[in-house]
Amino acid sequence: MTAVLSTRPGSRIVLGQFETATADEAVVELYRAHYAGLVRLSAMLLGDVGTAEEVVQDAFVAVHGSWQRLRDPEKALAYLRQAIVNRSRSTLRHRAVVAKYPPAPPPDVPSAEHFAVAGTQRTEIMAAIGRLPRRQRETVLLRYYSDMSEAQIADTLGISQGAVKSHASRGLAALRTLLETST
Amino acid sequence: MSDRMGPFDPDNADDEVARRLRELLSSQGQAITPSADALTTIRQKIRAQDRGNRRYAWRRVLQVGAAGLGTVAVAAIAVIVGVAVRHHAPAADHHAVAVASPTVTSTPTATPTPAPMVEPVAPVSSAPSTYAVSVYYVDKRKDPEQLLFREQTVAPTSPQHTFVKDAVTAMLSTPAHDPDYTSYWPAGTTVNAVNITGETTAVVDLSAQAANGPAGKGAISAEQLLYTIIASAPKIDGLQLRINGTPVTSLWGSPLAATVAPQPPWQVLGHVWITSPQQDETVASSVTISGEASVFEATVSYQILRNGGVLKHGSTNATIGAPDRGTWSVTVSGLAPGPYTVRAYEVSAKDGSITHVDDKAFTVN
Repeated sequence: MTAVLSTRPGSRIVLGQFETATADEAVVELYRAHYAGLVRLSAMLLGDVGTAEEVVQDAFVAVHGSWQRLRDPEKALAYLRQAIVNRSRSTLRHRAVVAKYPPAPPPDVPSAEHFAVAGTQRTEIMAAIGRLPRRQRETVLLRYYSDMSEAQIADTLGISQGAVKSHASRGLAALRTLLETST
Repeated sequence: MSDRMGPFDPDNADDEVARRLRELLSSQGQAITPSADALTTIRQKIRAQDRGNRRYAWRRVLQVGAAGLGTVAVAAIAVIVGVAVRHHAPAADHHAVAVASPTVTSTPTATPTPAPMVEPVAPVSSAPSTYAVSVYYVDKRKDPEQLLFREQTVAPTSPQHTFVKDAVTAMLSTPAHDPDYTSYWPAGTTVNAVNITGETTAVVDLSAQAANGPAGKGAISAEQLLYTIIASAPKIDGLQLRINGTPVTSLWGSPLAATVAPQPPWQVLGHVWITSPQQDETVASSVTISGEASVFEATVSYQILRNGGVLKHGSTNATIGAPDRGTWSVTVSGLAPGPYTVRAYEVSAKDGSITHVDDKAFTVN
């Protein structure tokens, strides 16, 4: 892949294989590398793919606006994750207030053919994740879906690594019986 | 991601459960198909926001200049650099305010040579004696340590109207109003020159006194300087520091980049600021307390204290939560005349403790 890179002063950054990039170019690269994964994460947090796309798109717009301060793709990714978790959370809270929805709706459950695990069990597990207390649900998804370290999760959620451990282990404990019987 | 969870450990029963969960979530994720043309949507949103920001830019600059100066009339407004500065007569208050020049750029007649140019000079038709400048200071308390706070002060209007130099001079020569803040720049440091190069980099040459500051405070003091410059000239995004004409590669023992970049606000700015009332300000019995915050879930807590006791307390929401930085305000009325303190803070998501406190003493008349 080749890219013509702007050399405008003030917008240069180190970006993966590329030497420098502007905010526009950074957004494109971040989009290619992370958009789908972030939408999936947000969709699992929200239980709704359409809203998840909006949340993630708005986070990308925010990264573009903050690029002069961020410059570093690692920082930008951390910023994106934090913004997406916070915005997903605000969306859930807003929904809970406006529509009196339960604050933690079960995530979308695509059809069972996709899965190795039996469809009913998967549905149950995803529903159980949806019913976890908010921090446990976030921690479980960031750890076991996004494969983030405890330190990264602590940073993203604004909590200590000890709290991450405890949320993850409680979350996992709540799902254990369902997971142990899954095939 | 370099620091992932440890490898699968068959002796640990949790790992089998965790492995199944990973597998399940992964295939669950694969089944979600994001739209293919989202990049187009993101670009449209960015363009729409850019347009909004351009409309908003002047207002924001004026607000920065005026914030916190509740008793001071904003008497004069300017300016496109290199075109014009208009000052109205100052208000009766002796703090006349001329909020000025955010845009530091080449003058229209500048030649395209890359040579550094002197900070643009705006012609002044009639000058008030002082105008408001925003200055950053370093928190000197333990918590939060070495974060920046912004105050308003007034600078004498220089004949050349050199906004960046005025702001840096004010930062070096004016002690913070709030006793919790300080500047580690050595007393007696003055500005030899400020140049703007490449439109976005400020080259600041300070006098020899600048060379000897307290160890460990160099990095944050360079950020203090850069944020102060950006408050006067938002287009600036880099600082080249010189002392007596010589470029410096370290400041008080801290290494310094040839061009210092502004660190992200959430890393260097105090998480909770009270911008109004200012320290020791006198206000009416109904006072609006306002500030900025970058706090978890946008929740800012506050207390009004009198004689060491908490008179009122509550919480409010900033316009946006961390990592973004929002604004917040709360109006408290019915305060009897006398001295008060307002504290604003974040309640730690880790352990519920009070953290990132900012406080201001004020008097109700």
